Amino acid sequence: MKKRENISQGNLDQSEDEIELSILMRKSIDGDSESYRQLLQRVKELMVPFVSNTLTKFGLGSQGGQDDVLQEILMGIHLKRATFDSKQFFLPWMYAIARYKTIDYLRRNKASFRSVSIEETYEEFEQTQSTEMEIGFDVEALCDQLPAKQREVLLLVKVEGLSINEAALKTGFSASDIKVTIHRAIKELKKKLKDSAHEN
Amino acid sequence: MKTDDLIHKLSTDLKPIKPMLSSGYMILLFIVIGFVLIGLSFIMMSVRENLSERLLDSRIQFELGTSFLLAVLALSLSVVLARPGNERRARWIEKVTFGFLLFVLMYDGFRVAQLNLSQIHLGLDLSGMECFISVLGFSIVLGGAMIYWLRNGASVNPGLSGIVIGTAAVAFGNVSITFFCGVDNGMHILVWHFVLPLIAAVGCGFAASRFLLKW
Repeated sequence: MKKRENISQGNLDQSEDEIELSILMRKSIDGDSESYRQLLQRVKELMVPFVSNTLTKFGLGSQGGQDDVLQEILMGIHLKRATFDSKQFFLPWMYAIARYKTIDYLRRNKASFRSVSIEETYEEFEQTQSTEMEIGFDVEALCDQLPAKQREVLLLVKVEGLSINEAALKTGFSASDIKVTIHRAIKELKKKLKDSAHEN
Repeated sequence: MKTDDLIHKLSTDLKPIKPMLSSGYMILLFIVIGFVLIGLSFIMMSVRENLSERLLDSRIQFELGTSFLLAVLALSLSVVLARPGNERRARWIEKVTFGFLLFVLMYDGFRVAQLNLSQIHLGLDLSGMECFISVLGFSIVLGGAMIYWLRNGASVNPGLSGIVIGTAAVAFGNVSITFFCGVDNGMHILVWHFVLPLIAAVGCGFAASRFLLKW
């Protein structure tokens, strides 16, 4: 039971990561340096345990190696950021790049091609990724359950990236009303996520 | 360089970027390129004598349809593979594509099974090499164009991408050769229009993409 609660809390955190990172990525594609810096920092934080665990498993867990892989992942994200589709979720995209770069590194550094079971590694990474994808779809479904006003405001500010004032102008609500609505929407989303995690 | 320094450098130098074309648009683009190449083939090769009559034949229509569908499926898979994070969808399309390829091969095999021995020998005649070269040439041009475009993407499985690019190109080549080759022998079609070009194009696609689609 406790384990399930931990998983639920983990899922909740990942859903929040997904929403936040997707927004940062969309802004980064438009050239917002500050959002991009924040995004890369968050990616780094997420990738440190991922890279560390994987390399340790293959006996390549030195600090230098971890930094190399981390930097390759960040470079991969930077160079291929045009492949991010704003309609898709960020975490599966990021983990796919991380998986590709990590396997590439393992192959080059022998943990040789033969001793690395690509299928096994792939499946392991896939599990992480599919959990996130499912969570992502849950969030989308949960957003649909929000009252129309909350959904509209949340999407305008947190997904489309409008400022509070812009959203207020667009919807005709006051700025403070927008802030309160977003706060309530997020609270509602969290509650629904917790409920759905408990049901599962 | 430290990771934090890299983050600082990347974010400082950031410029707005144009997102890659959507999957649907890209598939459409490749289909258009395929049809343009088929159009160009009409300039370079002489059309089979009884073309208009043969195009009314339901069997030819079926074969053209299946080849085109296979091409579209393989094109879709190559495009989906070029965008990271789509692995689930890619796996689904992969199953459909290779299942359909198997169906096409079985259909051609079924046609061969209805032939007698002399017709089979006739179909294996080396004069079919001309068709093989035509289909392969067509496939290399189309496949090259696809690889050129898909280099903008980020395939997490370049080898598989190469295989499906080769399959798509040969399937389009198969559509094209139907307008020019006057031989309706099932063995000829299976060997010279399909299996041999497929093996060659898939091999080339696999080898080339492991270098050209690596990032």
